[in-house]
This record gives sequence, structure tokens and C-alpha cells, in this order.
Amino acid sequence: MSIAGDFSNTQLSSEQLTPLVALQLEPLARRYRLLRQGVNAVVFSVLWLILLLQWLQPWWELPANMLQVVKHALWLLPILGGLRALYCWHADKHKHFALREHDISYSSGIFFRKMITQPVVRVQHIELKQGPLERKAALARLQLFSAGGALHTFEIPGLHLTQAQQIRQFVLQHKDALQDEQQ
Amino acid sequence: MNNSERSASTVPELSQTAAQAQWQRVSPIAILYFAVAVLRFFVGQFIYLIPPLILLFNRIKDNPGLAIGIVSSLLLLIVVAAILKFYYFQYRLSAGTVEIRSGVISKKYLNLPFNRIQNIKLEQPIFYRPADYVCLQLDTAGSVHQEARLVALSRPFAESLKQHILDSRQVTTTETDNQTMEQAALAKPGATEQLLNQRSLVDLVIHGISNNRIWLFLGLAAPFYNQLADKILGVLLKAGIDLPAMFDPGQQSWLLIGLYALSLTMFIMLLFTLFSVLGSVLSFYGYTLHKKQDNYIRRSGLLTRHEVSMKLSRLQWVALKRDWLDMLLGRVNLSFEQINGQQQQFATEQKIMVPSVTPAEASILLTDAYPDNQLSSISFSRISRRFLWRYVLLYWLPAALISQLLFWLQQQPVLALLSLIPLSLWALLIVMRWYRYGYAQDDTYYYLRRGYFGVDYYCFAKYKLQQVQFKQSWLMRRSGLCSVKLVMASGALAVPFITETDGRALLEQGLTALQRSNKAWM
Repeated sequence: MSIAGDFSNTQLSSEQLTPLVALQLEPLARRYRLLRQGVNAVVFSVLWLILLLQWLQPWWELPANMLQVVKHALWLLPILGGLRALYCWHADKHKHFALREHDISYSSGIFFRKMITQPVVRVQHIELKQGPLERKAALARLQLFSAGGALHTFEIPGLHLTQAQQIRQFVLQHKDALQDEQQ
Repeated sequence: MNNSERSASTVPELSQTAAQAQWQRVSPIAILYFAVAVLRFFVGQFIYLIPPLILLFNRIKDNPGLAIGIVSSLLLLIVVAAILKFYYFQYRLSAGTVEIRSGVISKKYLNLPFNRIQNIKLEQPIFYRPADYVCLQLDTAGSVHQEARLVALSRPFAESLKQHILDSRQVTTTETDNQTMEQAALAKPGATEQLLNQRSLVDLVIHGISNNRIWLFLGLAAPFYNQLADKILGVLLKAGIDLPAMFDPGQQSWLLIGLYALSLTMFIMLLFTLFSVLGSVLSFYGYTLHKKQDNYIRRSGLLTRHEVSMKLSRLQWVALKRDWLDMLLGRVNLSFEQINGQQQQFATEQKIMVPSVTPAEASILLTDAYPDNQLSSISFSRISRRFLWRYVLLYWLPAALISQLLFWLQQQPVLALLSLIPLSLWALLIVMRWYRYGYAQDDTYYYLRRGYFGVDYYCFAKYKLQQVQFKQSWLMRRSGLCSVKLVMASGALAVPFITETDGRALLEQGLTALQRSNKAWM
């Protein structure tokens, strides 16, 4: 094959063929981690406040067993919130992505590590998604759809908006991408 | 290009431009087709009303006028709907596209360029047989809602239209790719159909026995169970068999009841098998698999004849599946699978299955699709024994301990002993799962083996990969193991508990092969 001769698959920053294991992974935006912490804190605080109101309100009498539940929930909830915050902090620390010439990888997981690699040639279409909070923080989620089905949509959360746009551009301009479209 | 000219001469409309082309209707026999479709729709919508109607049967018998009125107006509605549907169903052929206008109340317009068509199926319901009409179904890669059906075309016209669409697709691909042009040029002289495989009635009976298609029948019969049971009991009573008395422990000894139960089960199994054979014959009667240029064409069916064609380049993987009964009978179910999409319920239509072939025939078929495959000679690597530990320690052992503890605490020694049967079966399943798992690769293909008592083989080209996943838990990392998942358009296949170096090699070489080949995945 003549194509094989001039084939290379280097990481974008360096110049040699890089195996997946040696990829230099880039972390997600720091703002993404902070945003998740913030959302977590707000959700748990609101829940806790609702419970506190139940506890303090003078208008109706709660049944005795319900009162017990509320009492225990009042100290359990902050602990749960704290644990979740800790988990999210570490989970987000373990979320990375890496670009090579022909594919994009995303790795995540603290105990169960998982790395998904999506070849750019097989990308059918791309979506950039932003929720209201992400928009405020100038963050974006990048979704790459392949023919592997909805279950196997490749998603990188928590990218800087400009970064996400650059990756989208990279995928769109890839010389082999969307070649099926042309046939 | 002479190819398309030739076809255009057989289908004159195809040389016209869109402006010249005329809208036309299909043959009036389509009214029958639409009537059946409407009837099916009604039955599908109101199937849950059938049991109460049966219960109300006596009331209806007293009041026949109303019932007849309802039924006849329903029939009239169906006929009118069918005629209207036929009247508003129009199609127009021009060079390179087919357009379809349909719908009575909500109008639908579909414009489908030939080069977007993925699959062409010909379907012949039994009432189309005498006049030899067919229903031509054109599938696109998109959703199910995008499919086009030309409901009643005469067979010669449909065949030449189909050929024209296949040819025009060929031309568009050759324009973009020099390599396929050479292949197409090579393939053109042999444009006649080549018979790859056909199935005899005996094969279908074997298929029916080894692949229980009974669940379909059972599901369909679900609303009638109660009535059926009463009827059967009544009939048996007349024949001198009193089932309730037979199974009454007050009248019979346990041994006798056991014997009765056994023979009854055997009888029911026999009945199921008969139904299953019937189902197999119904759907696969007269099965042939042809190859024409690089299209596979499958024809089968006793009542409704189906013709499915699939381009070889759409093929995602070849699966050779044998369950334990197939192993005993020495048969393999081979399927050519293509894009699965999100519509699981259409999965059976998206693949070409060759039912119950012998291993030798399967190997010939596989070699025909993938000439350089080494499935028969390649040696599979086992997965790690830790697979066993994981499933035994994590699921089996806790379940076993808890169930035993519970039964003994409640002083139920019989139940405790009995529960050992499913437990040991489960353990056996885990061991067999581990034993069956195997993986291998060569330069072009992945080979995967898995199963429980039976064994399934998957063979697929590396360049068809859509995505790869590498997974490792903390414990697996310590012992240098990993799991990988290969995502294809026809589904995902996982290989658990293999050594990290092997896993990385599988993924890395697959990605390289994929990125190096400029071939499209479909």
C-alpha cells in the first residue's frame, strides 16, 4: 500500500508515534471542578435548609417517627454532602483528555479507570453543549457521535469554551473526517 | 457508464430529468396491501380488547345486530382507508432519485437520491403471489422513518429498478475511489447471481429444533391462556383424563404425580418444538443466499417472501453462533451483521442470517466474505483466571453463603439442599464463560470467541472499528490486567480480564489499522 508509507500518528505536541499508554493527558478546566463543587454545595445546603425549616416550623405537628427521621437527616445530610464533594473533587481530578493526530482519548475513574479512544475518521457529527451555569463559567461539553450508537457517545465535559471550539475545529478539519459524507 | 444506460433503457423513466417525470400510482392490488396494513394497525392498537370481548361473547350473541353493525362498519372503514391510501400514494422516478408522496390526512413527501440508499429489500406477501407483484423497500442509513416503500410494483419492473439503483451506487463510488473502480471493472463480467448457499427443509427442521422460536408464539397467544386452559381441560375430561384430580396430592401418591408432571412437561416440550419447527419453516422456507457483484441477496419465506440485499462493504462483522443443541447437531447459525443503529427491534432485519449450516459451509461462507481470514487456523488466547475469582467472590460466594445461612436458620434442610442445584449450575456457568472466552488478532481482523455451553465466534475487520475502550480497576492494575471493549457499528464486544500488554496491543493495532486504511466503514 502506498498510503502506509507516509502514515504517522503522533501526539500533536511531539513528533513521534505515541502509544496510548504514553499519552500526555491534559486535565479538564479548573473552573469545571469548582463549578461542580459549587453546585454540590448549593444542592445540599438547600436540602438541609428545607429540613431545618421542617424542624423549626411552628405551624404543624410532625408525627414522632418523622421527627426522628428529620433529626437524623439533619446531621447525616452534611456528611453525605461532604463525602460527595470529596468524591467529585477526586473524580474530576482523574478526568483527562488527550489528542493525537488521528484520535481523541478521554480517561476517567478513581478506582475503575477507563479510557475511551475515539478515532476522528469515524466521527459522524459533533455537538458542543452548554448548560446555563456552564455558559456563565465559559465551559462546554464536547460530544462526538459515531456509528457505535447512542450508548457509545464520546463526551469530554468541562472544557474551556475556546478549547472545545478548537477541538471541534480540529475534528472538522481532519483530512479524513466525514469522508463518508462525500461518497 | 454503459451499465446505467442499459438499465435506463429497461426503466424509461430513469433517463428523464425531474421536471419531465410524471407522478404515477402503483398497481391497484396495493389496496389489498394497505387494507392488511390498516387491519394490522387496528389489531395492534386494540389487542388488549380481545380478552374482554371473548368474555362478553355471550352478551354479543344475544345482540347480534349491533355486533354485525360494528364489524361491518369497521370493515367499511378499513376498505375506505385502504382505497384512500392507495389513491394518495404516488411516486415519481427520475434520473438519480425516487420521490414518494403519501398520506391521506397528514401528507408525507420523501425525496430519496439513489446514492443514499443503503439496502434494498423485496417483499412478497402471499396475496401478491398470483400476479407476481412485490413491495420494494428502500432503506437509508438514517432513521426508520426515512425508509421508502413502493408498495406494489410488478416483479420485472422492481428487479430492473433495483438493479439500476445498485448500479448507480456503484458508479458514484467508483468516481470517488480508483481502487473500487478496478474491483468493479473486474466484477462486471460476472454480473450474474452466484448461489452461495441454500437450505433444505431438513435444515430448517433442524433449525427449528435447535433454536426455539416458540417465545414468539407464546407471546402472541398470551391473551388466550385462560380460555385455552379451560378448553384443554374440558377436552381432556371428555377423553377420560382428569388433570386436576391427577395432580391432587390427596388422591395420588407423590411418585405418580412426579411421573405425570414429567410426561406432561415432555409433551409440552414436544408441542413447543413442533411450533418452533413450524416457525422456522415459515420464515426460512426456500432459503437461498446469492452473491451478485458484491451484494449479498437473501430470499426466504413461506407466506410472505422476503428478499434482503446487503452490500459487502456494509458488513460489520460475521458471527458464527452455536448453542449447545447446535453443538450436538453439528450446526452453526451464521449471520452477516451490519449497522445496528439505535433500533434494536429492527436488528433482525438488518442482518443476513444463514440458519443452521454445517461448520464446513459456514467456513466457506466466511471465507467468501473475508477471503484472508484465519478463523479456522488461528489460536485463541485465554482470558485470565481472575475472571473466575471475580465472579465467584463478588457474586456467587455471597449469594451462596446467605442463601444457605437463611435456609439453615429457618430449619429448611430440604430447601437448602435443593438450592445447591441452581448454585452449582451458576458456578458451572461462570466456569464455562471463562473457558469459552478467547481472543486473537492478525493484521486485518479481530477474532473473538465467547459463550457458555455453546460457543459464538465473531470475526471482524479492524478498520470497521468505531471506538475503543480500555478499562482497569485498581485490583486489575496491580495484577497487570485490563478489559477492553471494541465498539462497532453493529454493536460492542468486550474482552474482559486480559493482560495489559495484550489489551493495549489489541487497541493500538486496531486504531493503527483503522487510521491507516482509508476505507469507509460502510
